[in-house]
Amino acid sequence: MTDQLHVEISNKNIGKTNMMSQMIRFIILILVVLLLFAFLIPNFNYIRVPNLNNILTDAVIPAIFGFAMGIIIAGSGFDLSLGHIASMVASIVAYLMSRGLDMHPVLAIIIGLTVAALVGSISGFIVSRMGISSFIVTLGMQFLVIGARQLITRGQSVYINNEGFKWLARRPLGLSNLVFILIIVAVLCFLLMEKSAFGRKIHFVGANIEASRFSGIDVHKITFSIFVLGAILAAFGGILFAARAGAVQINSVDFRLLDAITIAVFSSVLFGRFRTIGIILVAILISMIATGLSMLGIQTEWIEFVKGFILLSSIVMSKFNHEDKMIKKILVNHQKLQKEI
Amino acid sequence: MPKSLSKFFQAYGMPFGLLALIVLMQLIFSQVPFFSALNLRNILLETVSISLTALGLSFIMMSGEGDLSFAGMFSLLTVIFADVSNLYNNFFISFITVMLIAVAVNLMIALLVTKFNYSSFIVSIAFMFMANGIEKALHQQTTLINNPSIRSFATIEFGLPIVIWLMILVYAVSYFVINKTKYGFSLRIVGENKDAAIEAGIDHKFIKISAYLIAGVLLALATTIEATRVGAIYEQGKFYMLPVFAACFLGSSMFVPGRINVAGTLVGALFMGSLEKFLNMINVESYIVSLTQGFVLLFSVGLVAFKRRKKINQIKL
Amino acid sequence: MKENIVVKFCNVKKYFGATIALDGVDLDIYTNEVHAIVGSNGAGKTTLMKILAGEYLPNEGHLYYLNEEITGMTPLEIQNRGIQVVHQVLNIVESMSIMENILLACPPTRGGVLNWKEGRTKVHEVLDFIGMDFDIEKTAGSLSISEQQFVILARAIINNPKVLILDEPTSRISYEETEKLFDLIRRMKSLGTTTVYISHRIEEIYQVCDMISVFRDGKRIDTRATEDLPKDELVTLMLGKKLDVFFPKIEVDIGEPVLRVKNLCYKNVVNDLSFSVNKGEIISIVGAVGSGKTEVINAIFGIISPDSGEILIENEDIFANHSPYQAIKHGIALIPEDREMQGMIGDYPVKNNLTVINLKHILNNHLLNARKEDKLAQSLNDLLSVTPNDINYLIRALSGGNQQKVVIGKWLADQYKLYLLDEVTAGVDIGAKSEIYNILGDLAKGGAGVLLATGDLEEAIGISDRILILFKGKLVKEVDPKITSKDNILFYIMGGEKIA
Repeated sequence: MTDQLHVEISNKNIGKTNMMSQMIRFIILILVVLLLFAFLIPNFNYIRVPNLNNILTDAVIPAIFGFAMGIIIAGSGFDLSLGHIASMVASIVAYLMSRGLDMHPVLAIIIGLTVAALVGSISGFIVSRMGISSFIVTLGMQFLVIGARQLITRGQSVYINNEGFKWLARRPLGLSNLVFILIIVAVLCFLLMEKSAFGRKIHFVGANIEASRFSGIDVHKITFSIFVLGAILAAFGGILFAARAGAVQINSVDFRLLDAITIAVFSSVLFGRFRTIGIILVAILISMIATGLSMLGIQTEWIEFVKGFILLSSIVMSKFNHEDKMIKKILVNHQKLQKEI
Repeated sequence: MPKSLSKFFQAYGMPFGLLALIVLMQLIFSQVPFFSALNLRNILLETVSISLTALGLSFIMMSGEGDLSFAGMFSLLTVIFADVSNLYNNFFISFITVMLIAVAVNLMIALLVTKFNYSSFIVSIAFMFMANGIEKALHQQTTLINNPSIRSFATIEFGLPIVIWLMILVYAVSYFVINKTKYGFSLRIVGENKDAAIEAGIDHKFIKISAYLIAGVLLALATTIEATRVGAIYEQGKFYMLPVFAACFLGSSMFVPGRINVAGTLVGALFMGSLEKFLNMINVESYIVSLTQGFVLLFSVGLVAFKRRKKINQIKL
Repeated sequence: MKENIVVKFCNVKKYFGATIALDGVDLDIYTNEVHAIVGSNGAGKTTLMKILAGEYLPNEGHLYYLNEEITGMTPLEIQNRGIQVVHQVLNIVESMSIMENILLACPPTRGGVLNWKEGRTKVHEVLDFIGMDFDIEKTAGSLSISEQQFVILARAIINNPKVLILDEPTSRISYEETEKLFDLIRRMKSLGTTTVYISHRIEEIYQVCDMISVFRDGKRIDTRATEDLPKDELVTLMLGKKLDVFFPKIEVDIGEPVLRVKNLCYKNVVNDLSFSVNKGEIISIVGAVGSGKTEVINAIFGIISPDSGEILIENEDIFANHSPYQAIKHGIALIPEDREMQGMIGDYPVKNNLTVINLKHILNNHLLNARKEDKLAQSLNDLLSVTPNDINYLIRALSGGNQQKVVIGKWLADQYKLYLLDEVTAGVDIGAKSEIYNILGDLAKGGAGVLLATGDLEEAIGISDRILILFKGKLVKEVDPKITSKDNILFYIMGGEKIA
């Protein structure tokens, strides 16, 4: 008889929460359409192909940062140092290709990504073996990375002359190469996170680490890995940024962390724990908003404020959206009855 | 080792160790007049803002939550103080403005965290970014206060600058409140075991909100002192993020081992300030300062974690 | 209201969404009573007490305390009136002293300032009354679990409550300490305190309670004096119907040893333990809380690292470098004690929970295949008759019994040599229980060894071939359930070896 009651509540409320999350997605869709109009009306160029091309290209690097943070968040970790790792590796790569060393870009990139993996390993090791919150660890690591970067660049910008490297961001086919690179990275992330046993284990560890342990999953290895993967992806994003900009500036502009977190969190709210396609869509959306706002004449700094606000809003929305959490809330009292006898 | 000696060592070992470290550094770099009265005074003066911010963070962490917003709010508030001062030439108007904004923002964070159960780290990060964005939009270089009488707030002396006395007073009051009042008792319970607090009839939501409000007031105080002393330096808050956290975590390895506490935070803040001053005095390159700070944070957190035994600490949205 | 009624529930109803937790409960509790509340899972016991404690608001109905209506009061108001609850979960503040923990809700102040000196006498008094001796300055975190239980008890009774509610108070304490608890309850009764005792340990109820109220499906079925209610009638009232065939009779050929444990030591919790499990056998490990049952199981599975000893699976020593991954590779399965935290991944659907250890079965060219996953999950669901049979259902939405079936289910995709189960029927309703026993029987029939850690003596006697009795981490006796009485087993669990 108790089972019957369970079926009743669950069906009733699964329906309810599905409606909730459908509603959220619907609202977002409406907002997006409204935004499009808001951007379109003052400046019809918004919808012209060159502009759309720009929007798409602008979304590539944030999307890659979104993948980086997304993998870490999927494993219930967090990494404050991703932006700085990206800058540091970009500096290393730029440095290796210039200043008389003139290293081949592919080799330089490989070295750069290896350094990123190393940094990620340190964070991953401390988090997985020493029980310290990843917030704190990566906060400390952030400063170590900043220091390392200052050591390398000695406070000077590095200009990149290597044409082969800069080709990564060119558009020989009309569409920027970055977009094709994104597609490759996206496919890899998709295969890893949604289609491989390893990726599945990352999801499990993020959802319930104890139960994962009791199921024979090596939780230390998984926790370690998410930081390494995140660091490598973030570094790659930084490299692409350097290719696009043609230089590595001294100011470590940390907007990338904001992009990474906003995209990852927003995507997980709309689409669930780690969905490759979700991250890409959200990255494009953010790029649309940023471009639209700047075409309306709003300063870039305020656009940053808007991104922070979007992050906050998605956090707020997450409470109304997590189907499982909603059911959990309604049922937690019932479960308590069952358990606490 | 007898119980009482072991306990003494656990509580006081670290502060003595840190002092010994400074002394050691003085011995190695003997040309630097570290322990001169002037230098010590300067260190105290320069550490006031960090100490007060760290104290605010300590209240929040003692109640079981976290906060990163101060990294963005700090510089934004100094900018606001400077701008309002330059506009109205009145200390109190500037101070009240900054106070209201700091408390309002912290109240918003506190409400989101207590009413809706969001992770305080994530919510406060969002506010950090927003504050940062606003700051960038307002000014991208250092703003100085034009009015000398407002600036003098940082330098009025009664033996020591008044702001140092203020810091000591605030810490003393906080120590008393945390350890000797029912409120402080309740706060510590909420931070350590929320369910125990509920069972004891403590309103944990109220306690957490109050911690954030107190932190807001302390932040307002810290930023006022900073703005009057050195002006509003662009993105200064980000640089303070590490010393503030390090102060709290270093502090948690002393006096009340394993738990964030008032006295520990003060010692931690002073140590971080001393360390940075020392490194500046021996003219190291900036990267060494960053590296050292990073190591100190990881080291101090490692100490605490070592006691807590190694369960992987996860961040859940 | 009658003169000597202390708590009165009038037609109290409580629902959570569509679940009816309490369906119109009337209950009178009199002064100076020790009143037992019994019933199976979902019967409504804990909900009723939470309403009394002010933690839940009833949807309908009223409750009264002495002559005052207390419906809807906050927990603090309820506590101030002299009603205290000792919950199942121990909420200790580890970094604070024992004294501070006992006075958690009422720290002594003088003019707003804390004054612990004043509290000292009070604390010593209450500890004397309970019969425990502590250095009250010690941090509560340094105490053992059962000592902590007594600290919580002290916290509850320090202000002489008129009504004391105990929710499963003996789950963490030894049998000697249980005697201490009963003595305390009797003494408090003579001083005018009414105790409400929630438990499903029949022996205890008959030892210390005057009245028994039986709950079933959110209703109070009956209230009778203990002396007027024979035990089998109590069970019938609880179940609603007599369950004849409860424990399946299984005849299985016993084979070679599949597990041999030799001289296993783990801190002070497991002391030089040696035993073996043969193929086809169902062995139960019984013992009081703290006897080491869970630690033994976890050590065999590689969750904890024992200090010394040998663990042999079919003659292969797996002690070194052991881990859950290694255990699974060697053919060991584990259904852990805490279903919510250790056994299942709550936010995920049934199908993912069923495939968490079976990922290798659902791969196609190294990639996960959705069709294979669904197929495997569905076949396991069908095998176990999980209700409702929907592999996309969130596992958290299932009842306890069905959740446990899913937790067990994932291990049925392969043939394991040894199945370890820790309190597998805890929080599981009667129907699902017998289904689980059938599964265990099938596993044994298939040639596996089954090792069951349980606190339920009926269960141990009903389905095992042998029972291993642990006391303080040592194997004190190995008995044949067919020829040993429950009383004898209890005797050994209580440390009978020493006395005899």
